[in-house]
Amino acid sequence: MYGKGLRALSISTAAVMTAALGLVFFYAPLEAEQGFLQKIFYVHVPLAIVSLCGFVAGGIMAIQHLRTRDPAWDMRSYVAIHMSLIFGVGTLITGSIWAKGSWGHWWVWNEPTLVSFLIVFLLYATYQPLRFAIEDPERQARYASVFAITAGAFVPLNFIAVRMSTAYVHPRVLGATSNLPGPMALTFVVALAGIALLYTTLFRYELTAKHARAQLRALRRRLAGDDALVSVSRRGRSAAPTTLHPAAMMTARGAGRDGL
Amino acid sequence: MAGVLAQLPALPLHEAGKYVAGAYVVLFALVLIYVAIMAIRLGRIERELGELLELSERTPVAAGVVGDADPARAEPPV
Amino acid sequence: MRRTVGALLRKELLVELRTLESVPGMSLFAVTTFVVFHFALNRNVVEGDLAAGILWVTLLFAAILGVNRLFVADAEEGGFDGFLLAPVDRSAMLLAKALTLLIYLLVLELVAVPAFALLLLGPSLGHVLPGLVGVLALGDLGVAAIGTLVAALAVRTRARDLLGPLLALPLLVPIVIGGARASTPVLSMGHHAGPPSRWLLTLGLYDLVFGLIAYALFDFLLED
Repeated sequence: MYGKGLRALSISTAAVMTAALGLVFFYAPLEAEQGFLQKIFYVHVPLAIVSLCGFVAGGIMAIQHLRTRDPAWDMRSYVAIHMSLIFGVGTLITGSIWAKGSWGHWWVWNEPTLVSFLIVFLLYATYQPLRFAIEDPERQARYASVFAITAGAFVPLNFIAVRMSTAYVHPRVLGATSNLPGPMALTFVVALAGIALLYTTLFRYELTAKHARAQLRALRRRLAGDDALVSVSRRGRSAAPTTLHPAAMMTARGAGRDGL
Repeated sequence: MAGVLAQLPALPLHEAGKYVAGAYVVLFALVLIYVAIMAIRLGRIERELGELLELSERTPVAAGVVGDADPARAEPPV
Repeated sequence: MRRTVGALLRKELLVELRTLESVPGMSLFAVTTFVVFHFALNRNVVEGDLAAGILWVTLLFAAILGVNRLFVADAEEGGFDGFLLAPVDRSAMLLAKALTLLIYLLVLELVAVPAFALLLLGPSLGHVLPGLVGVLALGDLGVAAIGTLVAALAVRTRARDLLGPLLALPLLVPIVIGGARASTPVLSMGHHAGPPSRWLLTLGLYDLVFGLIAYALFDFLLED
């Protein structure tokens, strides 16, 4: 059910990203001040935008979970936040590389995107430990949703606050996204579309895999009875939600209370 | 603003190239690491499916037994 | 609702007055931290943005101590269950706890700010106090809202003393930014400058947004 449309999605992702790479290196003109180094802009800024949107989307999915109590929404929220965290790490690393090339330091405080990303990363890095620290699956999902909503609201506010704190002190060097000339703007839009499609494809891919494992777990439980809950292929517990249907979640809860 | 930017060196191609390549390699590496993780998971899913298939052949599952997991009625394995 | 909040608030303050487990610790921690800062920075006198930074960081970490302890008694002694059985609006607990934390912070500042003026601050207390009061009040509101939400989130997890600060600190960064930037001109020697309204507005807006979010989400933490 999650795997439907995955093929079309991945093909279009590959096509758009290839087009974006071609545009970046063969079409977009060299920028006057930064030269070739500016090309990092086409990978760093789309990663940042998609990651931020992903965090906010994770918060919206968490709202849906609290409203409908459907564990599927909690799963989607978890995956969205997980993916955004990875894209966020990518943002930090590419931003750091850009800073090194521009200023000679691996980290700069006068670039608000980078700084607010660091804070957001530090916040969302507590998401998994939070889930891990709550045993009961229903409460874990509920508390995680509360966190995801709070953090999702925090992301844009934090961005604004950090940006305000660095303005008038140092001129922003790395981030100029406004008034791009035509060819650069086109390249940027295509790159943004490519990264957004990549995120969506990986998101779908991850959900499909998790759903498949949840179905396997349900099948095993049905075939082998209650002995089946010995976790065979999981080395240690995972923070990820493992059930997708409310009924299955009740069973898991019951099994958990029996001391398994 | 233009004054500050004018002082920044526009790195020549052979120097800037390393950084640009590094940034794009990071993106590539993230995607490839994810592919590797998914490949490992796919292997695990396949193995687990195999075990379940084996399990279903050993324990006879009567038709219409959906949701009915009464251990007292399970047949002992043949 | 108001009577419930009042009753809960009275209970909280009574417990605190009898056990004295939060506020004296927070205040002592703040004063000790100022001493540590003196040695760490090797300064006898600070002013301007350095003073603002030291003050806000110290208040922040002292506040975290209070946040950690906010719901512990309820979690351990069944206070949550007792509250859930009562036919009252669940947000009353949020309001009561947030007001409690706010009062703790105000008492903390009554001790910490004069101590700061005595130990480290360059400009005199009378000089800085008018401008500082507004900034501290706005900052306290934000810390109270976010601190209460995070405390409720962390209290029934396994590593609650660790998760509480880890969750709270990034969420409180904008308050530190706003508070420190607004305090910097106030704590500078020389001219009598008020806090920039831009930062006061930011703090106020942040407090409002997270106050609303805490209010909307708190109920979901109490179901059980």
